[in-house]
Amino acid sequence: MRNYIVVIALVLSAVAAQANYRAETIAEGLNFPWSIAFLPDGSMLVTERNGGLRVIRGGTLEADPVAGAPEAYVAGQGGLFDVVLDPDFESNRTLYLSFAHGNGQANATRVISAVFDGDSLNDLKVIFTATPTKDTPHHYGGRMAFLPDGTLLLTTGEGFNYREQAQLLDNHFGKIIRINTDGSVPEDNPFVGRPDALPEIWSYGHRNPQGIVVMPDSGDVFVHEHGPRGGDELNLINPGKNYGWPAITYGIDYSGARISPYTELPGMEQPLIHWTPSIAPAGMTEFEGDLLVAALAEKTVRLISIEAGEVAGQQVLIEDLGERIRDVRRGPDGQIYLLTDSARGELIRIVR
Amino acid sequence: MATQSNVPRRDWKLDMPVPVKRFLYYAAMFAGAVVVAGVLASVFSTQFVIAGLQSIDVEIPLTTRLSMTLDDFGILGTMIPAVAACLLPAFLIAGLLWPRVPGGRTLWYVLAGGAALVAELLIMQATFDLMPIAGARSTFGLLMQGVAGASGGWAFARGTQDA
Repeated sequence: MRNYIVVIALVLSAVAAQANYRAETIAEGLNFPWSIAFLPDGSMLVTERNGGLRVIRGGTLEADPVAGAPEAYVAGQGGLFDVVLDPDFESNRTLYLSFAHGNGQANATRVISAVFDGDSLNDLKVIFTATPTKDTPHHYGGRMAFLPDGTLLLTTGEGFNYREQAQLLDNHFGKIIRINTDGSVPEDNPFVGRPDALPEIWSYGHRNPQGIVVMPDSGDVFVHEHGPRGGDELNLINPGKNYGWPAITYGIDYSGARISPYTELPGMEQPLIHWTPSIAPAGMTEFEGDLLVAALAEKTVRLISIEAGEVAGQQVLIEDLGERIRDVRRGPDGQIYLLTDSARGELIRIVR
Repeated sequence: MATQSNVPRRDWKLDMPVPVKRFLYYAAMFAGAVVVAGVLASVFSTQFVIAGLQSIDVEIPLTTRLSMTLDDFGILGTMIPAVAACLLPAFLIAGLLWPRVPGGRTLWYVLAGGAALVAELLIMQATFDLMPIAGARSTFGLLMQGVAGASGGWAFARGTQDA
């Protein structure tokens, strides 16, 4: 009897959660929008994968993109990715952009810092470029987040054709990178001083991580990453740890072939969640101590309940938009903002 | 109680016109060649994927290698049509070429089969900006996919040489 009551309560709460909101379109006509940043004056910056950095001011999308944005290599999954404000943005007006840099023969994930004067970017500085370059326009990672100590985390992908490199420490394929905002390496990074490792590496064994959240209260770092066919993962990241790709995975190749015979091996971390079949997790945000995960393939937003660094449950929160969701953020007004992934992408506010 | 039909039994195989019989025979040999090429392509790809894992210090015992190789036959459902789609035009061209150019019939089918698989993978790579068969990401792996196609060509040439 008790089980029935629990099930009914869960169903009712899920139905209520799904029904108790409305979607408002804030801006439309965005070209594959990728990320949002909320400025202190109430305006918003939105990156478009084709290289545009757009401003939404007073609820209106300004016609011209921000001048002075860096030239991105736009091909395949490459282009302009994340925009993150400096923790001291109000005083230094500095922001950070991640993007694909280079050309078809040699490209890589790059991060610049720049000063935003409200209309244009100035004083651009390259603070990180993944090495070595690759010749595929796929799997860049590209999400950024600040740790409480003011260092910057960046996710990088393994370039699709270079998956084994994610297990090696002499390159930036399939890693989480930690740097200072001037591009220097924090001395307490886990592989500093190891001659066989690049010092910027904070964790390794990732495929294509496109969601990162630093929890405000605990400082826990959650990262999700795309698997191949199945095997999308949510991980709790600890510095120096190996998250297994491609040596262990719950996914299989797009062809149907095995990527590895193993789902677990000693010395490699297990995901908190693996989504099989894939939901294609894209963005992620903290929400009242839990996580919201945007999904491209599933066209949903999932609520992941977190308790003491563990996943206590998950449910589909938003599923009736019928759009691939590229990013989800919690705005300063407490509402949920979504970016839809299309050539006519939209910024949508979910009003509860 | 069994009843006997008054309709005389016909040996349909003997009654078929010769061109139809030849067509069916060639079709069967082509299907066999496609299976040979597809199975070898799958086996080769698996070995290169395993070699990649071993290169990052993942131990793969022989039994695991065998089971993964067998598991990967699951991709034949998608691979066989793709292999057939590239071998068919390649073998038609080889069939037109070999009587007119030196080198011998078997050689041209072998070359056609090998070139067809390599070309198909390169076209797919150029189209999607990625290599769809993980075991063909390296040059050697790609060449071994060509060997799989060439083996299909050899099987077809041998199977049809007296037809």
